[in-house]
Amino acid sequence: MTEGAQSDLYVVGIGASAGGLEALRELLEAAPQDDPCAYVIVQHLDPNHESLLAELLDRSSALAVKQAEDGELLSAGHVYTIPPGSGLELREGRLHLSPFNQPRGLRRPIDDFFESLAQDRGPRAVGVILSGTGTDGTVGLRSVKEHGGFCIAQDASARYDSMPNSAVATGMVDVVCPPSEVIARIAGYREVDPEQAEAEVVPVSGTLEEICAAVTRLTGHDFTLYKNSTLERRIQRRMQVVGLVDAKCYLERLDSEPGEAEALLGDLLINVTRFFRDQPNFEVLREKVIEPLVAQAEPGSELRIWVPGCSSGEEAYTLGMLVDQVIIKAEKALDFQIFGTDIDERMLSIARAGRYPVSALLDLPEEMRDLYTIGRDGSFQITTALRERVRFSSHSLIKDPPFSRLDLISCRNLLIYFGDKLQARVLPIFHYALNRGGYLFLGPSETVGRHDSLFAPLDAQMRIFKTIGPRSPYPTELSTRSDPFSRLSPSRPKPNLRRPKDWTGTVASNRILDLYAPATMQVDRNGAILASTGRLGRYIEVDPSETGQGYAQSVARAGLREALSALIREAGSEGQRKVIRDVEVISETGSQKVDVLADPLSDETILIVFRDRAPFAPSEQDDFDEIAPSESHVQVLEAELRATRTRLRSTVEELETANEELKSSNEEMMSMNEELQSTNEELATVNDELKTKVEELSAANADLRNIFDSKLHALVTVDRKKRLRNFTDGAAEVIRLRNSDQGRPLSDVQSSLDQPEVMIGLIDAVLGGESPGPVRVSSQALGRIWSLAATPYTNARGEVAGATLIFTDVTKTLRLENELLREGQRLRLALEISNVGVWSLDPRNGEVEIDGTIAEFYELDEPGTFALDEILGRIDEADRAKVSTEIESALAEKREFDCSFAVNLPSGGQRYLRGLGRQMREGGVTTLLGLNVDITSEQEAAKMRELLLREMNHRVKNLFSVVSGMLRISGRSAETPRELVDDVSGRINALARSHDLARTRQIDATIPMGELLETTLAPYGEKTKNFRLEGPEVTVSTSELTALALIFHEWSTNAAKYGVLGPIAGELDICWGMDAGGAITVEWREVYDEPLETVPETAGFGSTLVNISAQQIGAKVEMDQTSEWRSYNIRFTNAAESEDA
Amino acid sequence: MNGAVLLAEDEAVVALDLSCMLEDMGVCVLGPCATVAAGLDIVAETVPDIAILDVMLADGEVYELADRLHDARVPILFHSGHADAVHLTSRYPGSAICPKPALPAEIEAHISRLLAQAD
Repeated sequence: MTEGAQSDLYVVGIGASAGGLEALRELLEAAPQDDPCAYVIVQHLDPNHESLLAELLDRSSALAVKQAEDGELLSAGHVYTIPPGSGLELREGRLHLSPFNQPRGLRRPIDDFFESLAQDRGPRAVGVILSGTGTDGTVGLRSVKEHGGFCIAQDASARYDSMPNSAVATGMVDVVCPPSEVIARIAGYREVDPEQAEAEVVPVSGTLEEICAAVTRLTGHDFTLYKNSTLERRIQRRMQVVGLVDAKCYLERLDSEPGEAEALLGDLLINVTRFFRDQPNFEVLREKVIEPLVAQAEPGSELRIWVPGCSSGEEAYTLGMLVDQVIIKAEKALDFQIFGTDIDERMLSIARAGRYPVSALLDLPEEMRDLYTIGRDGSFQITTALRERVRFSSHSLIKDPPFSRLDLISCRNLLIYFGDKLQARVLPIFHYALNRGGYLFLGPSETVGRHDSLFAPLDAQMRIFKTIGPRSPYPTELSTRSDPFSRLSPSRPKPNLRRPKDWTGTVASNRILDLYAPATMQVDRNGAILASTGRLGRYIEVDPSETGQGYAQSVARAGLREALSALIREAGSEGQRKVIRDVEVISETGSQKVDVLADPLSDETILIVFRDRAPFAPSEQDDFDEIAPSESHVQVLEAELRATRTRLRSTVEELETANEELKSSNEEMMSMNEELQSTNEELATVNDELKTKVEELSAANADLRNIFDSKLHALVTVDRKKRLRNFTDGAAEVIRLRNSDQGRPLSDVQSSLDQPEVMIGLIDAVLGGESPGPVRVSSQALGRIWSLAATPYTNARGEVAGATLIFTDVTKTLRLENELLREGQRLRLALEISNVGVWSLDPRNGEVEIDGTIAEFYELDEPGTFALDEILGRIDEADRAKVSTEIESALAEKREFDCSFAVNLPSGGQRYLRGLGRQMREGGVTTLLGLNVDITSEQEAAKMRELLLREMNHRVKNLFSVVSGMLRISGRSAETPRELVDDVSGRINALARSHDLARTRQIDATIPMGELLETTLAPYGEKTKNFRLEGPEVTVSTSELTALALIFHEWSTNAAKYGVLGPIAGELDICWGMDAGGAITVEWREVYDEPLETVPETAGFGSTLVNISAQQIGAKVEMDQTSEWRSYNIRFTNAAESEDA
Repeated sequence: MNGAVLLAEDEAVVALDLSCMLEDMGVCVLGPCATVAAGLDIVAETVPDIAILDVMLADGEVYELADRLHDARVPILFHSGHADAVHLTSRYPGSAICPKPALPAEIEAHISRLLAQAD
């Protein structure tokens, strides 16, 4: 047992062979994931191949399955499989791998593992035998059971039933069930673990005596004096098997369930035995006991050896082999007899048959195997010669009288089951049974205890003892329950006989029976001899106690035979005592007259008692003569007989030789067969594994086939020489491949690619160990473009065996990409030209990404991502809150953002921007994407417009006041309304014309003097013939225009009323120029054709207006006149010129 | 009615009309001057009793002249198409405003009142 938490772990050892994979799967499928057991699977595997077992099982089980490693600690819920080529052992909860030291065919990994499992786990060991050929596991199960473990074998569902059947045949198997139930059975067994039982149940210890009494009552065997601990353990185990926790319930079951007592008896009697168990001890025994015994024995005498508690007989046969070997070696004519006794009938029948699982053969030294065994199918048998020397009988060491005159008693591993009292009783019996100087051979943990006065150690370590002193008296107290028939009880199981309790067997009564009582036989209805006592030699031909079996009728001597037949028949059918008197029994030596009585007993047997009627009459010599009437005939017959005998002998010898040869070839065949068998098992396992693997491969292959058949994937594989290995239908379209192209070099294939060399180059790069990126290849013919990627093609050994080409059609993608590019360029251009900037706001972190245009708007150094607050900080304080609110509500209400605002520039000044935006969902992220437009110029134009409007307004008002002023002025001088109207309209027209001059030109432009004068004089066009306008290019500014126009108008009006443009004939000379001071001068000169009689008066108001007008532009006006002419001079500094100056 | 009135008006026709009207009222007209500069020249020699000022003169806005007159406690009548009444009355408390075009009677009433104030 191991220490720590490991110690209560249940370990399930599973042995399987051919056909086991299926059963294992079925078994493990039932296991829950939290299974508290650890599982160890031992299979017969081919040592030269890796096993797929773990891999295959792992898929069908919720538990973790792995191949065991050396030193691995078992843990619950795990399954461990044996690795190929080594054995497996369990020590202190750890798995240990061990190399096989047996040749293939004789290995028994399951037995080996089960034995270590039993020792390590005791009652927490579970052995399971599944499908398989051979007998591996049978011996191991016995060990598991002996240590209190639980044994399960697969039922008829096993594909190969030889392994489970062999296990079941030993009677060691607790449960036979299909693999799927195994887990549940183990769980049931675990549940009644006594250490976990509840307090109120009655433990076995409390009812031990009652159970013993019940067993004694039901089976006749008394275990009261056995070691309590062993008994309790075994009973407990049995209770676990039947699923009971309470010992009281079990006691009831013992009575109510027929067969339970037998089953318990079987369990109580289990002990492990094997050939040459503790081989070194046997070696010593041979040297120190058997060899001296043989050496000292008288030739022709017989060595007698007793093996009490022989179980299935291995030890008895072992001794037989040893003794036989020693006798052969000593070349001595010695006989020997070995008595094997036990109370377990099942075991005795195995022992008598002398047939054992082939795996037990390993325990025999090699030289013994051929000598003493004969191979049978899956098992072997002890040779008849040896079997004849080893006799097995049912005999209780405790209650039956012992054998006597023995040379050696080998009682190994029996005393350990006995309590002290019982041991103390048994040892004197041994002393009694042995000859003086006889030997006692005990098990490794047994001693003679207090009885060192009876036995002295010969080799204490090897447990070999020698008797001391004279033979003990017969230990009478032992025989209190002896049964006179039990010693001779035949192998057949008896009905539950109730024997007379008052027949107390003592030496005396035995003596009486042997010598003084009439010779008696007990037979059944058919006459089979069941028992006998007294001297029967005179009545029957052989001693039934020697041969064991026989029918009374057939062994009866002449004369008695007919009488016995009738007697048994009569007595049997009528149930009445019968007698036949005066029967003359004739033997070789004489005749005897007897009365034969038949007494039918209550148990259907019949007692046959011979009562002598007369003294024995020896035959006389004459009798012989009488039987020889014709000597010659007899002589002839005898001669014939002799000849026949001689022939027979030689034939027999020939046959024997042939037989020997056959035997040895048979043995060879057997061993070959065994090897083949195990190879076959290994092959079956491999086959199972391969079958599963093939299924998986087919599935993978189907996947691949589907990929290759798909038109969507264009995939080509090439080998190292760039020959086509395989390609998909899709690829066939790309580079025009046909199935016949497989194996051709790719360069020879007429591909539809424009640049096939690009593809070849890519393959070269891959084969050269590079990992090139995808390239673009095109086909003008197909009008398609592909992205071509190449990856190394690695084979199963991981070497680069070629390349895989993958064509991805990117025609559409590229077209789309180009369109997008063009679109993008167009948009960018539009944005640039319209000077529109793009921004996007991520509301999650409040960051704004802006482009170069916006960066310029804000006079930021470069585009990029900025915090929204930083951008808002640049906005004029008056607009900032508005913009911020607009953004928030645009996000919250999912509406468009539209807002105009001013930005304070770091360089000073402001820029007016309009922001437009809209929510966009891109990749699950909502952003506010928008534009900024510079609206500064619009804003300024609007201001200008406003300014202009105001100016216009002012001018119009001004004009109104001028007009009203003009009206009032004219009103002062006009005498008639007609005159008033003419006056005013003339002046207004003059002003309008001058305004026209200004209006048709740009603001601040200048007007040529000539043009001004022509315009002024235009109403007097018919008089132009006498005009003369003369002067250099001189211009006046618009600010002077109105005043000058008024002045010239007054002058021309005056001339039209009173001068040369009107009533007086004459010419008008107007000349202008610029004097040295830069001032403009205009001379207006009217020259009359004839001198005037009266000088025309100058108009009062008109001249005032001229003066005031002149004053407005800082001009000086002079007027001069004679009767022949009149002139006006005006001189002013040109505002435009003076500004320039 | 006696008194000297400074007339600053760059529109000749209007200036003539106002001059005639003032002379008819028997008031002495200083000017009319068409520029701020000319106005300042006049004021430098003679401080008028009242002043009639157009806001926009040929050489610019009239404020320099108006300031001078206001400092000299000369009541001012602004006669202008530009007139921003609020601005002017706040800058020159006590001044009157008569937007162009105005009826002669209106202007006469203002002048009479201002002259009476000046006395």
